[in-house]
Amino acid sequence: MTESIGIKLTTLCDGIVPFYLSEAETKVYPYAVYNQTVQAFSTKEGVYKYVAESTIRVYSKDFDEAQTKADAIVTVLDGNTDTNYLIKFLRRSKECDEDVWYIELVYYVKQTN
Amino acid sequence: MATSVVEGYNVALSIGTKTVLGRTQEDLSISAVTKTSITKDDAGVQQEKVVRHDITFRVAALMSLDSETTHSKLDRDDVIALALATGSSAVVAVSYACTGGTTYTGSAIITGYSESTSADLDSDSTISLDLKVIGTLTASA
Repeated sequence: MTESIGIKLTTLCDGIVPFYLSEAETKVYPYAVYNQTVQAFSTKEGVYKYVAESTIRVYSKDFDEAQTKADAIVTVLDGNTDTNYLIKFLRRSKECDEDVWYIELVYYVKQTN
Repeated sequence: MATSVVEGYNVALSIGTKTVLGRTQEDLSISAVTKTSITKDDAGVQQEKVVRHDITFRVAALMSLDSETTHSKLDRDDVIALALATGSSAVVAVSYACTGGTTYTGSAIITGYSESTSADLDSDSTISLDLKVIGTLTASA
């Protein structure tokens, strides 16, 4: 079993906003960056699940745009139907730093296959 | 290195010829049953003699179902069927193996089975199985 939570999130969010792991590869807003801590759980037969707390930050110069993109991400993640991944919304916050808004979304993600 | 620590995944209890699917823990307990005696020759000091051993196993596992046709492991439904057996059908062969070590074999009965399920996202559904060895265990190569 190979951990693929980041790939899943990236696939789901494809087309909404440029989506990067840890660090944006662009200076053009809007974009999103995700970070996560992943833990593996094993039986004597091997790993049977990965659990992650995934934090997604949507950055934009425009608050409404950040909100819209974040809402779209919430919609696709909440609408996930792939039973190999359980994706549960945990919390949401917003902040502005030097005229750049970011909406932070935190998810619990469990991969079982 | 002359000595080595045994990793838990190298220890396995087989019931019949199969291990339980999703095993997370297997415990072996051997308790001596003693008889106390004293004669006048013992000069007031009680003597203890081991007359037999109570041997039990406990297996903890994730509650798992095996839909593969080979069915090489005991899944949750297999274990329940074993736990509900009565009479001579309730006696199972057990084999306790440790990679690089001695394998111990014997017969046992299932004395307890339990399941635990929760709505909590972080909790896995688990099963637990208790076995009591009939007689003793025999060491084999």
